Amino acid sequence: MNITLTVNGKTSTIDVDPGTPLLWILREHMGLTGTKYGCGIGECGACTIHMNGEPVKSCDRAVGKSLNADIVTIEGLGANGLHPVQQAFIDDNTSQCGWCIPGQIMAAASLLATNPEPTDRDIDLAMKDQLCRCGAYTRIRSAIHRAAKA
Amino acid sequence: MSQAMEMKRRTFIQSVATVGGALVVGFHLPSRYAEAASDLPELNAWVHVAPDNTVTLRASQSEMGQGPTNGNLMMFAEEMECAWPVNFEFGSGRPEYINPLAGLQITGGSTATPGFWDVMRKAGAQTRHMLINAAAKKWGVSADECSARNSVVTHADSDQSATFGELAEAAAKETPPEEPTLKTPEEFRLIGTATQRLDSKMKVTGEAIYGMDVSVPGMVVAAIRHAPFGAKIASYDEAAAKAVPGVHDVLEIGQAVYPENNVPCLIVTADTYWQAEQGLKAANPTFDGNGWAGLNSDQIHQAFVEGAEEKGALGRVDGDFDAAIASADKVVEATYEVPYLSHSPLEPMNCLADYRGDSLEIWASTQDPGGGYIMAEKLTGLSQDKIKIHVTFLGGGFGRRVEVDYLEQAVEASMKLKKPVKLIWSREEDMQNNFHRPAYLARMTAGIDADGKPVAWRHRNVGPGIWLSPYRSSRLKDLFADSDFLKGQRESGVDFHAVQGGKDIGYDFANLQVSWVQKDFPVPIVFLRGVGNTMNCFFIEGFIDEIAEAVGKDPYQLRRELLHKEPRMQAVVDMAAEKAGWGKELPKGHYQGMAFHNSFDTPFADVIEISVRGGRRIKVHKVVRVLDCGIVVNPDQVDAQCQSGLVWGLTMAMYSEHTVRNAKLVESNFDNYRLLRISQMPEYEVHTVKNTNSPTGIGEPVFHTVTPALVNALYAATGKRIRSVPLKNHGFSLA
Ligand code: FES
Ligand code: FES
Repeated sequence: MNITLTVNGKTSTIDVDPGTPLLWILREHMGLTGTKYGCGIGECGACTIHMNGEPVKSCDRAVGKSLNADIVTIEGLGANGLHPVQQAFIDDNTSQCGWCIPGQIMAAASLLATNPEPTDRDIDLAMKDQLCRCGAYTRIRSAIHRAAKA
Repeated sequence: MSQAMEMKRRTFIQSVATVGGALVVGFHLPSRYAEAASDLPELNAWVHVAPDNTVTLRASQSEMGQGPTNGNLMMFAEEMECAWPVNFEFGSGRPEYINPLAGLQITGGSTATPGFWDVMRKAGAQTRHMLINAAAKKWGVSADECSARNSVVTHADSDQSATFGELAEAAAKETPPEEPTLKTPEEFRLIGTATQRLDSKMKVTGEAIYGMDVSVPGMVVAAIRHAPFGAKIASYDEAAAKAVPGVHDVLEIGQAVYPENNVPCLIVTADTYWQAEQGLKAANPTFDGNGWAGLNSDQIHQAFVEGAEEKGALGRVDGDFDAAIASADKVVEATYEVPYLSHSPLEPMNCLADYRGDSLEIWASTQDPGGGYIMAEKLTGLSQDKIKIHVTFLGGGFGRRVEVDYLEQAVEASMKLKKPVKLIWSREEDMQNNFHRPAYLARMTAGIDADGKPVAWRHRNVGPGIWLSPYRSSRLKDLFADSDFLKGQRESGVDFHAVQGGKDIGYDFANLQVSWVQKDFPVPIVFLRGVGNTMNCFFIEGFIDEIAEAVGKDPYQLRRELLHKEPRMQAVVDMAAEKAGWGKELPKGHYQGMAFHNSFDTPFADVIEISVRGGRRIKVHKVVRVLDCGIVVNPDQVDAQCQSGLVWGLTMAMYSEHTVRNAKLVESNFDNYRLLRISQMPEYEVHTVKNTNSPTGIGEPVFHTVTPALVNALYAATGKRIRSVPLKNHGFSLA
């Protein structure tokens, strides 16, 4: 099936099984490997992207249900240089292994887009499905506060 | 990990002498696979410098988040006197990269810092000498009169200077001194500073390349299904798999290199991973068991309970435990238990292998390229100079990626299919076919004399042995089969990691016995972040609080008294009590618990402050973490690891458990193998003892003390003594 998607501002049409999760379309058809696979069942948040401005777990979303969607991945987040959340994650040395980090950043960027000065509780709620096996939570939180102030 | 050879330096040295020496020879690779892709002058295995003065350093130790890239390269740059930050690459396959504390190029056992402390500084100093010699020759002056700083060599008297980049080509021909003089700690400029992670930017932009992110032309992607323990493949529908669009091949593979680690697997290859998974589903493999089919957790538990009545093999005997117990005024006894755990790094196992008949390339998130070369040589028959392993970033490791099973599978598939194969395990395959931290049970017994002094201690552990199990466990047991390290274990009947952290306990008991009752099961087992310490610290530290209660002593006071022969350890316990305000008044409803452990030469103490709502809901208010890791190379990294270990400890205490049903691990994904969430992350503070001792490792010690400290706090808060984890099984939840 031919499917048209706009990813990071570029529109293209691909011929794929519409049941394929968006995650694998991004990683394998578009070479956008910044979006990570961690669980495949919507439990870890490693695959979080923006779809029409909303945070979405791309492992859980069939590409056939994403027709004409406007998608932003970690590669396209800082269209003109680094997004403030990316910069804050650098400044706070937040990353450990880094596998969860693109998903964390996408989720955090969406939070700040709607809530520019989140409280700890707001962060807990918005980030509750973003697992970090390395346990970088304190610095994820501090980086989000830092980005809010930027 | 692994600490294949961890722990007491003596053990290391023995092992390295017998094992490491022999391996060094086999590791040399010809220039065909030199790391430098360009013809930039390479000064040695660790560094090349571009004419524009860009310095690129190579790391031996795998970057799985724990930060050896910064740590080790800071040591090198400190002595080389190059500007910081530097560029970096991951090196593999040269003798220089062998971890001196393990005898292989392997990352584990909390050895990245202590193992490379001398290596990196010395190589950095030699590099500086090469650059200075080149400059001195160029200017016709004495090398002694030249100095280097910030990637520039200067001869002050003649007011001449040259960049490292200008000197590199000439410097490459210089022979450095064998034993250069190294800086004293007071002279450090870079070591001891909190540097920005060198990999931060690429990790936040998605540019960092992990094993799963690599592609090569002409490759196929493979999905895999493993047989349950001891089972074989019974049937599968090849035609159905091949009817799925994009599917190429359906293939049975096993693992031939280390026979008892052979697990029959079915793999399906396709153009993309998703197609391969669909093909695998269509193939619908079924499996035949061979006697283990009914294996379940109750049976394992029952075997442990019975084992606790056996004497076991003696790992350490001081004084006369039986006599001391017979004459004791009071005897305290308790049984503790822990379940199987998986590492579950967030990046599932994967590997890309490209076998071309006369050569082999592998790209992998691995902690053990050294073991990978050996495996690949045995499997392919190619000599190691025809093999290249590219180590990528690792999306977590925690000891799991010390094993090379997933590399072997990819190589086998590539050999059979004669094309590059990228193998990706689903999360379910990853959790259910992990090599686990073994389940364990401990019978702890103490005798107290008439003066209220604990004079007898017996720690009897019951469970599987990673080194001695006849079943699937680390293939390092094959690799090191002839080492004194493993021979000693076979002779004594005591598995090194079964009693790790128990045999070498810091507490002083006049009469002490540490023993191990071997009960093996076919659940695959391996090293997990601290290995034996992960359970033994819980057993010991929970029980110490029970003894404190029995003798009517404050648990902190009892610990410091029992550590009277170990001033370094005692200082850590004292500092933890002081920083946490132990014994001082706490907010209403708040309670503290303490735990101490010494592992990998790093004494560590935690004080955890909690409250409990409704007798069930735990809130962790604050955690005070104190350690002595000698010279702190990068304080930012110590803090990050303490943060990580705290999350691991709380996760293990509250949730982590793999149960066995019908010879399969039940928990299969993060919905039933829960991890801590950001909302549950407590406040913590880290304090290090200041000194100028050589650095010791921290990646594992940061983890162990959390669970017992929490359980001890829980007793203070609720009067409930918890002797098994996870706490969810006792009806507790974490706010
Ligand atoms: S991979 Fe999508 S939520 Fe885990
Ligand atoms: S940094 Fe490793 S999973 Fe978050």
